[in-house]
Amino acid sequence: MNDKLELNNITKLYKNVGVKALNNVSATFKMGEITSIAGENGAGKSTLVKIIFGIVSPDSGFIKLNGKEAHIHSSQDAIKHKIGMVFQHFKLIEEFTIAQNIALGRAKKKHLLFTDLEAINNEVQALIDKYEFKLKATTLVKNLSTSDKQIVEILKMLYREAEILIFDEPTASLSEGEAKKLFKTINKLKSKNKCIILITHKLKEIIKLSDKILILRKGNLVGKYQAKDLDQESLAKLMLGDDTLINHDAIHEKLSNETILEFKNVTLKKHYQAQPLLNDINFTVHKGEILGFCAVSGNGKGVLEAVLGGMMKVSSGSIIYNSKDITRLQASELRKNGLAFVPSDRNFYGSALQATLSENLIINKRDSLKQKNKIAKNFISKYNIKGLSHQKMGTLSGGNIQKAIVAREIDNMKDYIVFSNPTWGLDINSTNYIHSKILELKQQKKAIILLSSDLDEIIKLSDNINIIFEGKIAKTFNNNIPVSKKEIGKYMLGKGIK
Amino acid sequence: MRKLKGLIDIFLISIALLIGIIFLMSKSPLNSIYQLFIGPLSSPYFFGNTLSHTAPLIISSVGIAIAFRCNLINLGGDGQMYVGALVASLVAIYLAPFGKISILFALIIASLSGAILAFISAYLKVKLDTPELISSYLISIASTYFVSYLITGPLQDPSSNLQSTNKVDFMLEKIYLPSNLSTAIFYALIIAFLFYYIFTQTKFGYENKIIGYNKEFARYGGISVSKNYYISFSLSGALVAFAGGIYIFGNYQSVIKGFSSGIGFSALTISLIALNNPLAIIPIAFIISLVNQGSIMAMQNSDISSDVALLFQAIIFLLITSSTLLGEKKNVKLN
Amino acid sequence: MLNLINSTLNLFTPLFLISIGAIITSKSGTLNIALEGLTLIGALFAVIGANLSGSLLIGTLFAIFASVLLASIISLVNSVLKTNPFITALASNMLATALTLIITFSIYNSKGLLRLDIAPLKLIDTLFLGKLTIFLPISIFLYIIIYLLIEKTPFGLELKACGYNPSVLDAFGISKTKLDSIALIMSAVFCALAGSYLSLRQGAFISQMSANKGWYALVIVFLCNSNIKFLIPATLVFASSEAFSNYIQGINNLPSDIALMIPSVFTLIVMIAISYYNKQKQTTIKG
Repeated sequence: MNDKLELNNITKLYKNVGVKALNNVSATFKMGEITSIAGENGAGKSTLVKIIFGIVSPDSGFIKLNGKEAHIHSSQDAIKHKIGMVFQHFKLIEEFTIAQNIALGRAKKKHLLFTDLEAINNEVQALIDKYEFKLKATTLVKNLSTSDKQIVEILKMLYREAEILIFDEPTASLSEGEAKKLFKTINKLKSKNKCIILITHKLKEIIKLSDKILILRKGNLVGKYQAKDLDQESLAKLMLGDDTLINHDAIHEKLSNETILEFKNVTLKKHYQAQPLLNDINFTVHKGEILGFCAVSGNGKGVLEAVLGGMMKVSSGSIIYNSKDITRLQASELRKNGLAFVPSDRNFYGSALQATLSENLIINKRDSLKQKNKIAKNFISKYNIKGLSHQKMGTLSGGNIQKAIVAREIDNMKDYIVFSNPTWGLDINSTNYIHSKILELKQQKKAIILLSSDLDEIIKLSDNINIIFEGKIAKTFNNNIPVSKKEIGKYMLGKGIK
Repeated sequence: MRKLKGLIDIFLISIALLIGIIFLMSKSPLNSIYQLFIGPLSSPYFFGNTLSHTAPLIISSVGIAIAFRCNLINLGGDGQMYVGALVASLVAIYLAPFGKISILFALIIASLSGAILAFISAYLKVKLDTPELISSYLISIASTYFVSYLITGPLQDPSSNLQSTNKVDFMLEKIYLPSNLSTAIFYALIIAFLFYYIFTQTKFGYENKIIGYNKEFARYGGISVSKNYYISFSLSGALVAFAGGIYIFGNYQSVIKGFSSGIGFSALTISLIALNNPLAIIPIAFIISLVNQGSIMAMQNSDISSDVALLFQAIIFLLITSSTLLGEKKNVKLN
Repeated sequence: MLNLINSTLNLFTPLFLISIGAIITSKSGTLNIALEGLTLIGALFAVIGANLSGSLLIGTLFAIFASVLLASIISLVNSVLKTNPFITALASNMLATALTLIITFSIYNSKGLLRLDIAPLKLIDTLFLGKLTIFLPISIFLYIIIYLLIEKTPFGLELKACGYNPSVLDAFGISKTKLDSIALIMSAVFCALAGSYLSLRQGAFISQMSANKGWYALVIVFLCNSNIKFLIPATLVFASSEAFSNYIQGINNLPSDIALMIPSVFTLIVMIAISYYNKQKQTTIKG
């Protein structure tokens, strides 16, 4: 087998930050093979694939395709060279059909000028059938599930006859079941002799799926391995370098009976929708308890997050905080009552990327604006945030942005805090740091609500686990008795419910 | 620092383009250029008048900046200023028996009128998502016609050969005779410093800015976005209308038909160049005023149209948000 | 009554042309506030061209050239200098106003006025609708062309994609900058036609003769919810309000400033009504 794609001494320096994202990286990729690129956040994985796809241009080094040097200066060039990429955030037009989405930019014409819609539909349907997907070319994309949308992304590349397919964190927004389906698809593509490049930081996926693994650490390629030679632990060690893995075991001691927050028959229904978004939700969170929630997306976890943060109002039922009714309070009033809330969308809700770090840190303390810099410095040193107080938030790494948000919210907390996907997209070090903070809060007898799509995280930290399905709490597990992911997964898909 | 260099570049490019156009249009370009740039500085009288026109420009630009900071565009400046001037002159005439204090009341009520006009747009934005850019502009057109109707109809001063209202009895004290320069310039400076303080040191200023950066983040942090929109946009209209009043008590003594036309846009230009910083607005308003005055002198003493001032502003306006020239990574975000 | 219909149709023509321009840019997802200036520049250059050549057709071509040039400058500034497109568009309106005043003053020595030396646009007597110009059938014909272009061609598909979700275009190998520029330049052609109609029919260029039509066109596009099918009725509603404004100005001895207020107040009310309607619809669909 010949090398399909060859990277030669690729170096990239981000001048304004002064960070060497990639240092002399050379690697080869073969047809019919799945190559994973593993590394922590900021190791340079994304930069590397962006260079292959032409979005970022390297400072030095070159790319060879089929043994010949290729000049890829834009994604258009990459597409011409039969390179395709499935982005973490889908690049689809919801208002168009599958076929229109796929044919956009290269639609067939009839009578010289007009779109030949029929020909496009047939062609796309033929492609769908060839790869045995269960989709109809004329369906509107907005009516598709997340995993089907991802398939449309893949079809888009196949329609453009891509031979090299890059996946950037493809399972980030998928449920466990959906992820399994995706792996089957990726293996199918492999069997059709495509060259597949995969970025993910889920170690298990890397080992299970790949043939070859490239490991990046701080911009350097530190190793090339056959997947069969590695296990999760050794892979993690390679990615982290000298750092050792810290493994917390949740302290499942006897819980206090003191209730901090209680949901009583909470229902949220829009008058035009048949199904309530939240249906008769009841739970209590006690002092020193971590209460976990998990669900497949679209089942009401996001709505619950919005309700807890005061962004959405419930239709009936009540929310009681320290025997005070807070059901009708606005976000600003909840904040005054000591709401602490780490939202799942840290860039959209959790921070203002164009504002400085100190401006971001002070939002809950804006009455004492004069001490802005002092407060910020305090946070930065206490939480070990790598950034300067006058630095723009958007120039911080993802892990440090999240640390800043967590620091700010813990500081505003009275007795309870809500975490939603607190470690989504973070590397192992930042994840461990945030998990240790959450456990620290538990020891301080705070009440903690943890919403997460990461089942490992839920099982590792929670005392009790609630599973939401179609707006209802389908099942509550007590985590003192070990629960298996399989068991939880069953309820998440609504199978265990009568 | 790169930003400052970029701003200077834009200024120089605009001046170069302006000079180029003057060479094309004028038979005696050197004289035209002299009149345009040096004319207003050539005598204490002209210099004083330039400063005198700077005062309302500073105030209205600060007003526009308040809206810009929370990502709103106040395109109704011309109308707010016109209405403000009319209300100020009516109140001043009505309260004239109370003496000079009438000016103060007149300015307060004028500001209130501008605040009400602007509040309508903010209200529509909050309640119905109507773009404030278009609604404030349409309200400005309608109110401009209405004020013009009053000036040329029921409120016209029959003794004046201009189309204008009756003269007010009291003016702000002149401080640099024979020019028009009055104490208005001090009030303008006070307002600029006051708002610099408000923007950088107060909770309102912080909230206003954070909303401009990321509305959702502000909401999440418990900031009431709609309340801030109401206050910011009303305050914006109030200051522009206040500036309209200043034109009456500092410069014109009566409301002249169409006097405010284009000043709202000048204020937009100034606060854009100043990156919404009230202290930076002071010198920039002076420069724009200088070019405005210079263009009038050039029209009188050479063969170019006074509209070269508008052209100059247009060119700056065209370039001022360029992230390439300002050395920024992202576009200046508005709406 | 016939008079009112006839004057509505004559007021309809320029507004309709600008609205076609507005809907093209609206499909690509831009709120095009440069329409006003593009129309104004067109109006002036139509007269300049006609006077130089002695032909109204060549005058119109001049107008198209000038407006397209201005649109190209805006696009170029937007893409090369990465400016805020709203501010650039506002600037181009200022630029248009300034240029028309300076050109009329410096070259023709009468600020803001330029007379047409040849006979103005001919009015053709139609059987039922009174006297109309050739621009009305032309505008209808062009409207059909644009309709087909947007709804039935691959270009239209790309344009709409740009309006729905511009962040995805790169992945399709489509350049958003290019689409935006094409849309703006196409809209400039329509603004130029509207400008030509205004000045060539009037027999003179008068400063600010675009009279906020560029802004009304934006509200017209709001009114038909960017659906090109409803463009004609939406424009007719606005044209009739203008006709009404002219009508009572002539009849009731109403002060002209009050009559001139009508279109802007009317536009404001329509805009509030549409926003209200959209908000209601939104709360029933999304919550």
